[in-house]
Amino acid sequence: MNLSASRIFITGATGFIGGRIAERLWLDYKIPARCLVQNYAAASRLSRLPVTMCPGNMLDKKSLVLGLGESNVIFHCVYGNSKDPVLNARVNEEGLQNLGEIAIQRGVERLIHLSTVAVYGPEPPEMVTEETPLCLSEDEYGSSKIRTEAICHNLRERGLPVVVIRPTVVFGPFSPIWTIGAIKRVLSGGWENTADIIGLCNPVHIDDLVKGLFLCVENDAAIGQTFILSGPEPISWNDFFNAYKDVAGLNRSSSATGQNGLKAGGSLIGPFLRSNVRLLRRFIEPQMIDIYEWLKISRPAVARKLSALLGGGVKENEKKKYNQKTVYSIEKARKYLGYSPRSFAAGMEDTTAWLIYYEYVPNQQ
Amino acid sequence: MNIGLIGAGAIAQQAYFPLLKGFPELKLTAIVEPDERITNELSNRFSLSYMGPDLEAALKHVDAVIICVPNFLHYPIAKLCLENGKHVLCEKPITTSVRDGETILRMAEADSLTLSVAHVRRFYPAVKKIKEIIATGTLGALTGFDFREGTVFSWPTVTGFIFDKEKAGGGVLMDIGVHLLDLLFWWIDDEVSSFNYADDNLGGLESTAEINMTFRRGVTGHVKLTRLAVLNNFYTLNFENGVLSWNPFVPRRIYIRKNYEQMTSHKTEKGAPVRDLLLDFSAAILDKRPPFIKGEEALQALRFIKACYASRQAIPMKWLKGEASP
Repeated sequence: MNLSASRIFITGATGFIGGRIAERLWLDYKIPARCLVQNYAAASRLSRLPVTMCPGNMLDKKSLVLGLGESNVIFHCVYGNSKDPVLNARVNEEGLQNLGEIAIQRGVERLIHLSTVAVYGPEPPEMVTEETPLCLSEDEYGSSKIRTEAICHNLRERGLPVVVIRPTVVFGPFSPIWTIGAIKRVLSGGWENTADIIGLCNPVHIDDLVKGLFLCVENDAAIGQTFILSGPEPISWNDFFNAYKDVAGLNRSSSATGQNGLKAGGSLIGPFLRSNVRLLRRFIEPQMIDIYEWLKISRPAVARKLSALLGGGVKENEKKKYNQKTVYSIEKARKYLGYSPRSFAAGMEDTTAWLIYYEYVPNQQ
Repeated sequence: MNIGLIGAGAIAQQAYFPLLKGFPELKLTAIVEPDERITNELSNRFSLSYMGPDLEAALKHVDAVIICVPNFLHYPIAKLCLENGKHVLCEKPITTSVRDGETILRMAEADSLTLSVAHVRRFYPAVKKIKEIIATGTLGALTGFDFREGTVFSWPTVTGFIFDKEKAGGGVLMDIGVHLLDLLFWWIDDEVSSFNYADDNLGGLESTAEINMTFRRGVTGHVKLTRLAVLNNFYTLNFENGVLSWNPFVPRRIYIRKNYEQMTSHKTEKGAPVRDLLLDFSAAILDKRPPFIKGEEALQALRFIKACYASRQAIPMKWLKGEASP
């Protein structure tokens, strides 16, 4: 199928992955996508493009019909991310069912469904392929995505050309968790004293993921298949976060061995501050904001240390996750799609430029 | 004085309704709003002479109006209100085109009606103090500036007009930039002699914008705006004998570093900018004096924004076109 001649509908286009799909469709193919928008407040990034914003949501079938219009390809990126797990499950599952029914009626030629490697559960084996059994768990997100994959299977049996994608750790410009979250974490001392962290990270740059999604449209062999999309090879979690420390100009060797001043102070004061944070907020938060703003401009080094002090290191309940040695295989995607992602280092180049431009870190040049 | 609110969307609900509930100088007597869901909800809170979609019907019950509609409607609604002899307080930007702005300005002047624009930040006591510091030369002559303002956009827009090119008239420069430029021009009180402008518009609206500019008296500086990230939000002014910074999100404080001394923080009065805007508007009408925020000043910012758009260049963003492997 020819992507450049396609008419595209994106759900979740105000989000990180959907937003980049819309950008690359316009930049690379001059395709002005139709984008389902539930919350206009989140549409700033999307508004830079000549896309059609279609108001609606996954539980409103009429809005999906209007939004889809004459599109023949759907990138389905929406997932429920509210505080209400019941609503989230409805958005994920009932929403996909709604979209699938309409897509069948309208003769949609490809529905690319964004799932997740969380479908393998909290303790995946060391080598994971698309054939690895899925694992229902207490993780609502992963479990709901398993149910959406079952819906995809059903839609496929009814003739809808569906492709399921399981991305790994997606980083790059605008990534809320693995770029913005990562840089904030290292800046606030959240990745300190990590010599005992020995697990593997499977990062994939957003542009590689999006390229993989486009390959799923262009390649008919993708229909009915599920693909893991990750980077070319795993790296250690320490290498992943240390790359962000490099961007931030933080001394990775001293932090890794815990020899900097933060550790000594943090070990004594940090737990006290953290345990009394509500008390502190009630009485001095208004003043703290003022003081912190003053520190940022007049004593930036002190501000950074204070921030790090309150941030803490890797928490005990995270260590299990960061010590897993799971490798997510992309061999199937390589074979079927010709998928060939960039190295982590290459992906970090434009990520670094983006972080500096938007002042997540100071420009040290 | 009886006042009408035209448009009951996000800005009216957040800024004006809470104040107008008990505002002795301005009695809210009419609300014009086409959305029945909003008017039904408001009918429980306000007892008014008119509430509904008909602007001309509402104007019979008011002496002045506050216009809180999407940007592209500022001009036709302000024009109709002025034609009916009503004083106008308009949300920013004054209009989406300079010609429309000039038209309503002339109309107001011709009929001795008050026309003011809600460049509300000027009412912060700290902002007025900074104007005083510049004017009196407390830190020596002003030599340069660096203004940065960026947040992840989260305004609860009811209609989404702000992302519609035709209805909004522009992106972040028209939205937040008009506030920033209003302060910059008011503080510096000079004309721009040269500038260059770049943004990240890819065929829609800009969400990030940068301006390098020089004023006639030689002050040069840089402006950076975005809706996509939290920037180091300071308006920094460089003087012969020091540096002054102000954060629009911590508006009470002014940070001053004289020569090579330590930075000091100066806390000003908290202020109540929207209340003071309304008080000034009503006093300007009653006293038949110009308002603190004059229409011509609002037009200066709009003219500059339009000049920026006309000379637009793309911000070089190498991550935007970063190629994935083939």
